[in-house]
Amino acid sequence: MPAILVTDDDATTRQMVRGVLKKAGYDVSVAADGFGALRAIQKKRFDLVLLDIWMPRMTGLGLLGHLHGEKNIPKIVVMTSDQTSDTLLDALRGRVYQYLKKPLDATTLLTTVENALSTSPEVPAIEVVSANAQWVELMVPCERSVVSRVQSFLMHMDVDLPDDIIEKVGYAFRELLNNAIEWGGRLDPNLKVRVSYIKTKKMLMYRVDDPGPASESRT
Amino acid sequence: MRILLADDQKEIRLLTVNQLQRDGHSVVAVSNGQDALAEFARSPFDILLLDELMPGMSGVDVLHAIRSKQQSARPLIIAVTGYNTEQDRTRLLREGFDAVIGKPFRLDSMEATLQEVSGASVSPAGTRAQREADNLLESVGGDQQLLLRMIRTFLRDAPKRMAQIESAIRSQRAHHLASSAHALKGSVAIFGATAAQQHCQELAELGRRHDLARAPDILAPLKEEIAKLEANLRGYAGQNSRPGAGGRPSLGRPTSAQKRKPR
Repeated sequence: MPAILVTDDDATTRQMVRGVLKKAGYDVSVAADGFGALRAIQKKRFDLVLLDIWMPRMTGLGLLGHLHGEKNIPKIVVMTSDQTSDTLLDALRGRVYQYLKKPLDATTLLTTVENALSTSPEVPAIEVVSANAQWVELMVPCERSVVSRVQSFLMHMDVDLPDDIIEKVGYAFRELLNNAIEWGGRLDPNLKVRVSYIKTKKMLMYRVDDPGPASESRT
Repeated sequence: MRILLADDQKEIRLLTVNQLQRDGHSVVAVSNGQDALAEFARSPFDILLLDELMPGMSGVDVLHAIRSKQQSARPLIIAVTGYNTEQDRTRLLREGFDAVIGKPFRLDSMEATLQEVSGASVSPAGTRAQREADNLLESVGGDQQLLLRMIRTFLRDAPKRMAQIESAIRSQRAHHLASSAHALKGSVAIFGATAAQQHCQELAELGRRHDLARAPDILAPLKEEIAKLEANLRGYAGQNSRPGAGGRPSLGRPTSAQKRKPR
C-alpha cells in the first residue's frame, strides 16, 4: 500500500485530502508544516508527499531545500493556490513532480496521485535556464513523464487570458512537446528539449526545440 | 430575469442593455434615479443595476427609497460604480447594496457576474444552495461523512483563525497576519466561499507587504462572510447529520471518484 504524507497548515484541507486518500486505500500520514514533514520523512519511508507551499515555521519550498541531503527522497506534488511564476519555478527546480491547484477536488487529487505513483520513483531533472514572469526557458530530458509535469507548471502560471484559450494552447503545447520528445529526442533521457515560454499581456507563446538531427523548432 | 438599469451615460445604457438582452434578460433602462423609482413602482424587477453617481437622485438614494418601503418581493440591488477601491466597495455594501460591480466592466462577463451575485435571491428557492451542496459533496468524492467531519473541523478552526487575524492586525504583526489569513483562505476555498477567499487573499498580501493600514477595512467584510459561511455550514450539517438524512438523493449520488477501485 503506497504511503503518502499530506502536509498543510490548514486542518480542513488536511482532513479532506487524508479522507479522500484513505478511502481510496492509501496509507496516509499528516503534518502541519515543513518541520513536521521533515521529521516524518526522516522516520518513515513515503512514496509521495503532498506539500502546501505557504506554511508557518518551515514553508514547502524550505522543506525541499532540506530534502536535498536526504536519502530516498519521496516524490513531491505541490498543492497551492499560489500561481506566481517564482513559486512555481522554485518548485520545479526543487524537483517537484507535479502541481495541484487549490481548492482541490477528489477526482483531480486521485488522478494526480495515481499518475505520480505510477511513474518511476526517479524524478528527471528539469533545468531552469531562464526564469522571469515573462520569459521562462527550460531544458527537459526526453522522457514521456516530463510532458504532463512541465504542462502542469506552465499552464498554471498567471496569465490574463480566458480559460478556454489557455486550455487550447495547453493542448497544442502538449502535442508539440510530445512530438519533440518522441520523434526528435527518440525518448532518450540523455537528450534535452528546450522549452521557451514567452508571455505578454495578451499573448502566450511556447517554443519547443527538439534535439533531433534536423533540430526542429515548433511554435 | 427582469432587470432595471439606471445610468445617466447613454453609451453605457445602450451597450449594457444590448448585452443583457442578448443574454436573454428583459431590460428596462432609465437615465436617472427618479425614473428608476417610477419604473420600479410600475412593475416588479428581479435585479436593479444602479449607477452610483447620477444627477439628482443617486443610486444610493434610490436604494434607500426602495428598501425603506415594505415590499413583498425583495429585488437584488447592485451598485455600478467608477470608484473601484476596496473602501468604496465596503462603503456601498454598508449602504445596503447586495453587490457592487466596478466600472469599467466587461460586457461579455456581465452574465457570469450577475449569476454569481444574484443566484441566491433570484433562483427558485433552494436551487443554488442545493447546487452548492452537490458541488461540495462531489469535491470530496461523494463522502458525506467526510464532508461533515470537515465542516466540524472548520467550525472549530475558523474562530481561532479569525482571532489570530484580529490579534495580528491589532498588534501590527504582519507576518502572523499573512500566515493566518493564508491558512483561513485554504479552508474557505474548499467550501466555495469566494468573497471570504478574496478578503483572506487581500489580508495575506497586506501581511506579506508589511502594510497593515487597510487591514481593518477588509477585516469587517471578512467577518460578515465568515459568519454567513458558518451559518450555512451549520445548517447543512444540521440537516444531514440526522439519522437517515444521508439518503437525500440529490446529495448522495455516486461520483467518478467514489467509483474508483482501492489500490
